[in-house]
Amino acid sequence: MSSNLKVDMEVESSKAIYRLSGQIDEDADLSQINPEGVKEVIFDLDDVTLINSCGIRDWVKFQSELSDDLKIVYRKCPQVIVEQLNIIKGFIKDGGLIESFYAPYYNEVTDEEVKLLITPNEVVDSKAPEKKDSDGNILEFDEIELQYFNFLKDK
Amino acid sequence: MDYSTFDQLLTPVIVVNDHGKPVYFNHICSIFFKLAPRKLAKLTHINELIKNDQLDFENYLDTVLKNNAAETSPEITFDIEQIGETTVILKFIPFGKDVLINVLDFSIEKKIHEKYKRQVAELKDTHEQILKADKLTALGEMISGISHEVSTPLTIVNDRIEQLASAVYSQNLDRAKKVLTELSTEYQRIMKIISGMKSFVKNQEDDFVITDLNLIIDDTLKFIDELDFATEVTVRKEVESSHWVMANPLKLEQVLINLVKNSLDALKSAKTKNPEIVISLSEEKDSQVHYLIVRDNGPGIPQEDQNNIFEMFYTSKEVEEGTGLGLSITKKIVEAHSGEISLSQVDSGCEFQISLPIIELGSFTKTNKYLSGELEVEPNKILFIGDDIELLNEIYQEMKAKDFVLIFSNKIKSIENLADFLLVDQVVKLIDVECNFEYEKSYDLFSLSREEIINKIKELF
Repeated sequence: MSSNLKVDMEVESSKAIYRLSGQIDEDADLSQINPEGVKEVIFDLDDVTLINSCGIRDWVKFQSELSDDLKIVYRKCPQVIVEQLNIIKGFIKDGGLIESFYAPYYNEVTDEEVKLLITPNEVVDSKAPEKKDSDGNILEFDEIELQYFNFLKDK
Repeated sequence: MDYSTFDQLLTPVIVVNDHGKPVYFNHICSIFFKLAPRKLAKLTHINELIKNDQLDFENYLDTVLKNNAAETSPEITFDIEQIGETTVILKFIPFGKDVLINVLDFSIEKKIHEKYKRQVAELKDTHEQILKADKLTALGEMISGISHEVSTPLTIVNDRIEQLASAVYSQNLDRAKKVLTELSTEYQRIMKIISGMKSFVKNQEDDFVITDLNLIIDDTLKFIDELDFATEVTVRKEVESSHWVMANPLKLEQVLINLVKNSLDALKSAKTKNPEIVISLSEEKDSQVHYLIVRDNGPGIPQEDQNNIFEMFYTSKEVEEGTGLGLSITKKIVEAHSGEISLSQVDSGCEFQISLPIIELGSFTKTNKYLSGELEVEPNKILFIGDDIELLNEIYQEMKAKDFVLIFSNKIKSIENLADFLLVDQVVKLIDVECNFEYEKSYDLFSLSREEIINKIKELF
């Protein structure tokens, strides 16, 4: 079956950046991610739209097989990834660094939902950072903070 | 009421009041239904979340609360934004004055099951197409062979007609009578070739039946003899007892003809002294396969060719002599019978060994609609034990469309060896034997006539 996951790779000296887009499901071919000869790997997950239980199984296995010597960074984790980070042990490699992720906010004035890119450092005591729209309206965090930021507990 | 424990669960849990209004959602609901907790909290009825016209929520809630007992819904599908069609089973559990609904998601299983079925169907189609193409190629090869076989008697016929004309003109009636007899002989020879061809070509569908490998060898030898393929080569069989399998006899015959034909070509081209081809059958003790062996005393197959002989279009023959399809067709047919073919020994000639599942295993896999994905659960397994191959085939034709796994056996020892694996539910005895393994029911039909047996089976199943 054809894979709904596209992987683009860019190498900068000893660093490989993998940009994943599409679905991580039973057809996803993760073997195309083969970081050899680099010291650092960055997974840019910005365009991952879905991950299902088969995809989670393959992803966890794939993560466990990555070399312990690699520095691994997870960049722009979308909400579907954050949700799995909170549930699945081993979803990211031990020692891996979450550089940035998306958080859901709601604009009560305009009745719009937005996903904003934030960094772990912005989250203090499991509290979402305050965000405003271009008109200065304060946005409401649109999840349950304790649960959504649970993955940062031990960071 | 404190529901926080449910937030630790990894399946969606919703608590609704007796009117169906959600009063609690656990953490996973937000992930599963792709809705922010803010939106979930605004729902006024569970059917705004699980939109399925077939499911009467009110009826489930009433029944659960009235009986104070849990209820399970059938499998239902509904759409979730971003995800699409979702398949779940809902468990309704009484929870004080409210009802707890636990959602069991089967979407992935269903999707993968459907994908698996689709892929199996595609593979079957591809396999069919290859076999059809192979059949045409095999037919082409055969027509070429037949043309060659027929051309010799036709040349003689042509010559005898000229002789007959000459005898008639010269009014030599004795000579004319002799020539007419010779013409008749050649005519019979051509008819014999055509009749052999017909029996090979007719009814080539994949009809599996209970069959005896011994009889297939006999039919093959008869066909080869009728075509006079092997005039200078001894082709014989070494078989002691019957070996039943589930097979398409014509396909297996095609396998044997392909192997014998290859051996004949090798023996002829090598001008082997006392050329001989032996077809034999064997079976190891407690083995689950029969071995069908074709051996010749020809030059053997060169080492460099041995790994490629089953590949399509691979041939060591001259371009016009072989298509390179014979052994690949043979391999495909054997594999369609859940068997294997190997080149097992090449020191003093060539030996092909074909393993085929014994009848008990062959019939079990052939009729098991659960294994083929046609049924969701494995149906009852019925063992028919008998020694009349025609009667068992009649039963097979009668029963094969029904939802049972049919296991046929003619050797009580074989079925006893496999009993722990096959787990027979019901036994139909067509011969008087003791069955020393566990089963639920047994029907002793061995004292009945053939017609009574068939009628009884129709009545029972």
